[in-house]
Amino acid sequence: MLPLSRTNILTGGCIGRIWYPVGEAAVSLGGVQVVRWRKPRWLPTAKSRLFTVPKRPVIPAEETREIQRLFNNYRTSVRAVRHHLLEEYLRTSATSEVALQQVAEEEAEHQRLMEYNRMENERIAALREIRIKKELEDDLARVAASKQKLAEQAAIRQEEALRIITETQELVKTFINRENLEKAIENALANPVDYNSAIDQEGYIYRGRNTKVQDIPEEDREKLARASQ
Amino acid sequence: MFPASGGARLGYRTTKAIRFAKHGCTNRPFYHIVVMEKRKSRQGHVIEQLGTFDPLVNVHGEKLCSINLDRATYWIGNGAHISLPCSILFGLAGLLPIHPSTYIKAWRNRKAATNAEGETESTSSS
Repeated sequence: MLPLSRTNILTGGCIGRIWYPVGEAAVSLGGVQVVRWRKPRWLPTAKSRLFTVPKRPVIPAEETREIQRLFNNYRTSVRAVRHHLLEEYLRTSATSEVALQQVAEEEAEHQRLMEYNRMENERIAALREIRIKKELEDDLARVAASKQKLAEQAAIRQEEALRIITETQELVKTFINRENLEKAIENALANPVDYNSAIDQEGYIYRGRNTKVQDIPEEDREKLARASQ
Repeated sequence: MFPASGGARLGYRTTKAIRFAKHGCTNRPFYHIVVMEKRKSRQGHVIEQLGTFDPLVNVHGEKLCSINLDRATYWIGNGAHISLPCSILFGLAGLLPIHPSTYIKAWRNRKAATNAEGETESTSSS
């Protein structure tokens, strides 16, 4: 009889944890019969079998001796077989065809991968060279462009400055100093400038403080240029 | 889910056992001869399947059995334990020496047969 177990019996049938003990009665090499109920240990012995004495199996002496002899021989032989198989395994594991083949295959695989890696590196290195060159060229172009722009702007500023200077130089000639003062006053008094004017609805402008509309004939009238034109 | 034909993770220093894993259904057992770690449950994850054994007799009066001798010797060389029914089967197949229980069963059957013959003779003669 195999020992009882409460928890891990019948894993194939997926019962789960059961509270009552279940025992397995093994039938030699034929199968296993599952017993659903077994008496719990705290229940006392049944009245009918209180005083039964279990029958001891009687094996004759020569049979026992024969059995012992058989088992001794068997165990010796099995030990020898095991030892032999172990030696064979140790002998052939490193030098067997399978192992050698595996080693050769691994080596070939390694070489192939290294080769592939080298090719990849070369390819990427070429691409990288191209990219770096291009980037360098771009940088140089950018720098040249910005330099040119700066130069242009400097030239423009230079031109502007020059224009202002020449204009100012021209203007300086017209400035009134102490020496020119009296002459300028006399000039101003001699040449009065009249800014007064009048316009009419048709857009003709009549300049002068004292001009009258009737004084200027129609053909001589000055048409004021439109601001939009 | 591991198939019954093998594929479980191989532990480094665990005890392996060659034994029967019972499959089949009610009133119809069927055994796979299997290498697995000794402390796994009977239908647990199997390292490798080495064969089958059908305990029920077929139409021709045979109990069919198959064993992968190559792999079985490999695993025994690797230090796998063998269960009792497996040892008996291997003994009958020729992989291991014949187990004593085969001889015991045989002579007990013979004794029972001669006793039965003797009884029938005595009853018929008397």
